[in-house]
Amino acid sequence: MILIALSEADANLHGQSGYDLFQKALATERADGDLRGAIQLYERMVKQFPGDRPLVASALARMAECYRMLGDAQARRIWEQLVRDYSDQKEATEAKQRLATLEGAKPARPLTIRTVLSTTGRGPDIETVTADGRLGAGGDSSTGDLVIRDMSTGRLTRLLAGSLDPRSMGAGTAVGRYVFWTVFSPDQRQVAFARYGDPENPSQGQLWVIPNEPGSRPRLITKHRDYRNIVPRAWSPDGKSLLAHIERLNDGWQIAWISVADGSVTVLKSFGWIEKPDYFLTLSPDGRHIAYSALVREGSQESHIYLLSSDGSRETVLTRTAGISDSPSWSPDGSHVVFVSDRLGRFDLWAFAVRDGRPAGDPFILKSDVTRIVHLSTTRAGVAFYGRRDVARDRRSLISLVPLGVTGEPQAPSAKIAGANAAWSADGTRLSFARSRAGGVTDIIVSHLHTGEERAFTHRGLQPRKPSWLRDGRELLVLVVNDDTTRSLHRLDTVTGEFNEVLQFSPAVIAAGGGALSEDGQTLYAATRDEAGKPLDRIVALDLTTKMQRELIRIHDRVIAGRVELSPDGNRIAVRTETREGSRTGETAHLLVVDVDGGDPREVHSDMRVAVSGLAWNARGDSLLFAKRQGANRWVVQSVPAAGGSPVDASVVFDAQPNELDASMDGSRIAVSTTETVHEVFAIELPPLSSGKR
Amino acid sequence: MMAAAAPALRTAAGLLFAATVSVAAAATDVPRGLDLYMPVPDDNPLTAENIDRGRRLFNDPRLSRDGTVTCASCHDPQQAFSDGRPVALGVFRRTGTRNTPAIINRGYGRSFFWNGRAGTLEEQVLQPIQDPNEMDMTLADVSARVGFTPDQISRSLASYVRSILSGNSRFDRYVDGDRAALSPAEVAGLQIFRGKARCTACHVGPTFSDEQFHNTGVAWRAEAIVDDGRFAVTGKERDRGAFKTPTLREIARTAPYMHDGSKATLEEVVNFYNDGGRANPNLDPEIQPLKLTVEEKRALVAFLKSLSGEIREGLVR
Repeated sequence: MILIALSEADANLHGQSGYDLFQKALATERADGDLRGAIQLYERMVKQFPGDRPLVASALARMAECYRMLGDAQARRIWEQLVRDYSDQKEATEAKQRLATLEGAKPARPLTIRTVLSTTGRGPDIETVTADGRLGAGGDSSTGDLVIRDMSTGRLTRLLAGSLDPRSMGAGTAVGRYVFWTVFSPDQRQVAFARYGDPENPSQGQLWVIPNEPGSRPRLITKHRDYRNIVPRAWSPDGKSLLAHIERLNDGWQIAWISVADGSVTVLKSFGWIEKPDYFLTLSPDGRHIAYSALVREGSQESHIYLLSSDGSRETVLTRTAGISDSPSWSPDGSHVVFVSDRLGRFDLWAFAVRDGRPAGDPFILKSDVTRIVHLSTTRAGVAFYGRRDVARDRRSLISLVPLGVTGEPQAPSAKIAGANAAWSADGTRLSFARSRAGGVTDIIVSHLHTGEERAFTHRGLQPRKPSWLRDGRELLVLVVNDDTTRSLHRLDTVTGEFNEVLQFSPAVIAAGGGALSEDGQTLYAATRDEAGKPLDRIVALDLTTKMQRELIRIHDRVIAGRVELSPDGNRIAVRTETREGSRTGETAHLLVVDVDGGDPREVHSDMRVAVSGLAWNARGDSLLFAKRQGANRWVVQSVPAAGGSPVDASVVFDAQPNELDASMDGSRIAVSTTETVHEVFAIELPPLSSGKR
Repeated sequence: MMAAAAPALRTAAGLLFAATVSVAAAATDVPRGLDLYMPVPDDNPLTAENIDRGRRLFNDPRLSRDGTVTCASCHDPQQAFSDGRPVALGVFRRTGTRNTPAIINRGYGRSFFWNGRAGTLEEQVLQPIQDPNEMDMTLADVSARVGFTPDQISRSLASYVRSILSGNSRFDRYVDGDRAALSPAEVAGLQIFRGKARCTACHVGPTFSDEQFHNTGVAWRAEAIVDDGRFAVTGKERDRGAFKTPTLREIARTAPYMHDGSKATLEEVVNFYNDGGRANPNLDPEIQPLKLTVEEKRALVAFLKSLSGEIREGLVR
């Protein structure tokens, strides 16, 4: 359409340059998806060809569209300019319509968000709610059970027992049978769910259905050696088929119907590794359309919402705005798709009118700043249930500063700080740690303990790894994930805020966390493997100037776990190792110390019966501190002489697994980083949403 | 349990959503292994009329200057819509520079030609007609000869190409639960395909193609890239010598292989990748020596041959 406006005469009049520039801008906008780059090109056209009104009007219209897709208010300014200055051009007509739409968009009435469930630690989740809002269902992350919850009384009914070892819970590490991804049938008499931990194939996801009656026996719908995950997301209205998201082994993802009767699979759409779809696909109330979100392109953080007809005959993209748009759901009458989007720089709840599987209006905000939430279910009455991203889970990181060297009763923390993976400065006045904020961005924080002053440092791809202080007391060694997935260690100058890359490396070879830097900054001590796919079985000293490696430790029957810790005098390194099995259950502890100049490693401590977490040198460098499990939810910090000997309790006890430990240089306190799992489910009463009404 | 399951569900889904079954679903019976959803442009829906007209145009020699070449001359249905030659043969026996791709399941494609220079099938189907080495016609001349506008020719041919589907191979039956569909050697080959040989880095999904462009070194000869490939479209240096991942469906019937037809057999292709492709400045990092044993190579070829299935084209009557 726009190209038609550029008549041949116009092109000839201006040579090809205006036309060429427009083509280039269009390609930048549409083929490359680089909206800001396209805006620059359109701006150039406006400046270079002011006398070519059709060309300038076209460029302005595209520029406004780019701004609109970026959620930038400058779109309005340009539409006003088109209406005011280019009323003779056809683009002015569309600009008027755009402005009218903006004027007509009334602010949504305030919606309240009610917290339905808020617990910490492991326990029963709510993953789905019945259409009448009476019952919820979900897996119990401490037992693996399938649990039905009465939403009004909170009473729990365990429909199916699991055998999950709670210590092992985690992606790819769970031991025992457990349930995940539950969904009620339309008549509420059955629950479909994914089940994991089959003894014969622990990594395989299976699809099961169980009647919603205590004592019922579950029925396997399908399992498949090619399926890593089969996630049921909805039942067809007649209850005969399940809409599922299938993750295939080494072969991408699929949206499929699965017959409840015989488990047969009909694939609607397949995705390669390029556009990983979201798990949260939803079926319209009439069963005719599927709303799902997927990444825009390979490696992109942006996602769009798509509408796919449930017979696979048609698909439409619903959102084209830059940013994340995901977690789609349907209004009870199927007239709107509700979704979460950060197109305005924060996560808001939006709605989009749809008709016959196509957009039927502009999106509008239902509720601002809802944070990163995911849709669970919407009742017939229009109450939408949401959980935190990652299926009703949020993980809060806390750093506890606890007195050290005290014997007797466990000591209470003297302070708690929101953040993760702390390290003391040598003078004991500052603590460096990681803190995450909205959008998955990590900052490195330096907190002055006497004044409470905090300074945040940020860098694209910064990781929440423990930021080690270098000997100058000014710089930190921090980890960055680059756009091409390689890692880089950077020296962060806490005075100037400058980041200087020390080393770029592949996580396939060097441990993803990087390593420890020598006092002179010339040598990196890191865990490595011979080649990608092999276990981390070596500690090397890597000369950062010559890139020459010197092997310090090679282990044969275990793998290196956790960080490489350099002693305060810089002469020794300590590492923790575990068996392959131990990496699944954490049930082995094995601490090694070796001189940085080489020599045989010394086994400082070995206990094959218990789980160990975290590792740190004490201030004098004569002992190692680590946390050891003593019971299902009890972790005790212990100290063991670096020369070997029996460990002793340090009177520091936690009910959550410590991730990192770090002792202050005066030996008086220890910083313990833990992660607390929080389950929160919210209810949002949607306003009446129907075709033609807001 | 899952044997012959998919067709049963298709019927169920068809009944369930009978009210919404589109022309696309009605006009083509999608073979096992392919997605039910095939992207079809809103302005060129799959209609019986278009498919039928496209089929006739596909076999019409009037589309070529000397009246000797049809689309089917190079995209021969008997050879899985390829031609068995290293490079295409056009009017006046002019030769092209690249191997004729098998145009099966192209309705699922995202870009077309070895370098992806066409973004839609509607755009793609008109180019061979105008290529001097292929049919060497102008659209005006063709339009006058066949009595349809270029737009009608484009839509019809594109619709017909969308109807050309290959699936229901022994591999598909195996995936659907028929464990006897593949021999032990073929199963071993499948495991190598997905594992040690890392073929799924590029040959992924129902069409066995990621629809992306990779430099495997085939175009690197005498210390130079002899065919720019994707570079001609993007102008990006990293794309020089990169070509679109071809489908592996019907691979046993579409020799010779590679964009230049330089590998006569599947064994040669496997050996080429086993050696890590051909080193060149733009070699895709996924291409690395595979260290496959003779038995593993044999199993991999056996598996690839199991990807021959049923080819359907035109309207299902």
